[in-house]
Amino acid sequence: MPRVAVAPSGVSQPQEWITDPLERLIRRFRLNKAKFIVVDQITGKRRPPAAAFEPRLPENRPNATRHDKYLSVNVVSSLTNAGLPADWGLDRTQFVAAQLNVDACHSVGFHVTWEPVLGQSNPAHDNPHHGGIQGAVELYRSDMDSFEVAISKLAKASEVIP
Amino acid sequence: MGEGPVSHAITGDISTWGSAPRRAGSMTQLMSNVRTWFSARPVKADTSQSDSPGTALGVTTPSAVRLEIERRAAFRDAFVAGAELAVEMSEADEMDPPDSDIWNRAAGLLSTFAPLVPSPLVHPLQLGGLSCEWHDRGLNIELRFRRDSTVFAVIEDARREVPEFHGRDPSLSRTLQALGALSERAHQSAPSCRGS
Repeated sequence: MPRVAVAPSGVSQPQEWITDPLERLIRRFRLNKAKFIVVDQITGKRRPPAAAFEPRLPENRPNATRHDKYLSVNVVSSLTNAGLPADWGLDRTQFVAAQLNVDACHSVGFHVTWEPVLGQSNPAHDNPHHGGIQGAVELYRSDMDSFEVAISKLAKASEVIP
Repeated sequence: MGEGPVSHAITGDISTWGSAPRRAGSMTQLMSNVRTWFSARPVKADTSQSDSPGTALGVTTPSAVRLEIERRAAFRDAFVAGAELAVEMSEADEMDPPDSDIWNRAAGLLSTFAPLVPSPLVHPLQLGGLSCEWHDRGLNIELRFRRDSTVFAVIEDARREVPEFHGRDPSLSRTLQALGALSERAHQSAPSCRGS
């Protein structure tokens, strides 16, 4: 059965900005075989490396099928409204999930939109709870130093979910 | 910089540390280079860690030799794990393959520290780069190696003994101080909340 869009709280249309600063976002990332998770020595939190907030770039891969216009996340209130857990859809054999607030994205000049993915040829690939952290790709290409600072801050503001 | 073992290891122009980078045309060559960078090397006398009368005469202790071998192996394993993840992500069309010039440069620069500090977490970055980071004994130290010899460093110290820094550090001058502090703390017996 095709999945249907489930809007995050405070949002009614796709591509609409998510403005609630406390809205939680879930970002997945890969670990190497050692499965080592950083414990930030300042905050004491288990968190992802900054690399988890790099967009996938096609600059050297002209035939790339996987590249990002924005940083993909799941939006927790959309998941909650659908009765789903925060780690919905996570393949724990390959990925770990971390959560951060929209406020952290705003603090580095990024905004967040609701970007439901629907109507895929394989309905299992639909994701009604999908969102996007906007601005990372543009910043990478325009101001690398600011980009480095931004992904550091996003990583530091995140926490791995059990 | 201080009197710790890292400061004793630092001499000369950073660009001359280790052998000249070898251009690797394949993952196999890259892995071979990584293993070479972190293979066992002649150990200098460590007069700061005396557990036998012979140390003062320049004889390296068996425990020091064993520790160096273990640390070099851990560094090698960390780089290999990072490179394997890079290959995995590259084959999944999520990033470029590792850039051997960037990885060789990072391994060459950090091989000097391999006997002195715990091994880093090595994670691939987009466009062939890599990050090496330590989160241990109150220190967050992150190095992001990218093309054009760019190195971006993040240095934070919960003890406020090492100045905080976020910026480019191509000569690792800021990073050396942080790694020196990490080395000194690692020689102490205090437990750490390093990671899981």
